[in-house]
Amino acid sequence: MPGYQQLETLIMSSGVLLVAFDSVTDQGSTLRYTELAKVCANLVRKNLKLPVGIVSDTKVDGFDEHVIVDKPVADTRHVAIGNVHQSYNWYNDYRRQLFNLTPFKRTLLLDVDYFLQTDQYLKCFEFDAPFQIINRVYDPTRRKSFDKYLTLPNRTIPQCWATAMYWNQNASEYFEYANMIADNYKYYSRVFGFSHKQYRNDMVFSIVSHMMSGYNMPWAMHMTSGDCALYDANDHGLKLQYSNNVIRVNSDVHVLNKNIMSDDNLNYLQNWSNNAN
Amino acid sequence: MIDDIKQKVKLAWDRKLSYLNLQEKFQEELTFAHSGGMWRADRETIGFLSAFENIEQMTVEDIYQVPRQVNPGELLEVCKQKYQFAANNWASEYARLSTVRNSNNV
Repeated sequence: MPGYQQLETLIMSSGVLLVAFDSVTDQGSTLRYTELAKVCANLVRKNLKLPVGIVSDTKVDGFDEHVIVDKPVADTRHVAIGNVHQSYNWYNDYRRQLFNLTPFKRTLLLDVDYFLQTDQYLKCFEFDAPFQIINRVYDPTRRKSFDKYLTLPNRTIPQCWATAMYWNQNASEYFEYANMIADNYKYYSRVFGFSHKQYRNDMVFSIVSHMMSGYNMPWAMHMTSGDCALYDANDHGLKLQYSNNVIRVNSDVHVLNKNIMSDDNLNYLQNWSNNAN
Repeated sequence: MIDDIKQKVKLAWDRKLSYLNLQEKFQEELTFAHSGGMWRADRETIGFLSAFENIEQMTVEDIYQVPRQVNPGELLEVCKQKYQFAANNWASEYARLSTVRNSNNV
């Protein structure tokens, strides 16, 4: 554990950044990523005790820092909410520009559907390598749902996950390289065998991490697949239900099920994360 | 209503799976940053550092296989603290899980 003075210095210049753009599906449902970001921010404050900034196209209450930007170019993405399959504009292409936009000297970027329940990510700030990213995933249901994503599709280089990325002020070349890959996305998609039709940060930063020898965070990101639905949440963590099974997860967990953005679930998670503070 | 009850009755909880997840969490809690490197406070590292406890400076490779200059005694102390803290958490959570009897109490 860092000493008090060390901790104070870390907090002054360190923070967590979230990117959230609300979107409306073709069926008229609103995917309120900004509301989910508030849940994520509550959990960050409780577990990491760091300020939280948000990158969005509107001002969102409840954050320490605001970066207001125009909505980026969107890709169409499909999602199942309840039993209804819907498509929506997925505003995904902003991370590679965040090196210049972050208000923090040391930044941890998280997906808003990543629920922190431990202080594990403080280790990134203490280690402080210029660029760190997740490259291993753990499925708490042990169904090995993500084993097919160990490498990029042509099995050449390990796949990393832009769900959690850390960088400091010495990481400019990593982001310059990411921008170069994004600008030539079609070419790189052919080299590494992924589809160019949908822009994926995971692909871009996997290539960056491989080519620039970034450090991988030395733990696996716990992630549950789309069929794991929220059942309840309490002091012992999130309870998830999948095919007649339940599981309680009290580690940091990335929840892919989009039903967490239903009004009921958002209210429930807001209360849970508020009480967590 | 009946469907809801049936659904609840059917829900299963896998104790062994929860123990495995707990073990995974324990392993992750063992990592820490120190002296510019990243380390794992496992039994092997603790045993290795114990052999050099009285040396002031030495070079040890961290989990990224980067050689780092460390004070082995200092690093050993941190390793021991981390191991004990993580193992105690593991034990208390394990004990809590062992009392769970059905999926409602998970």
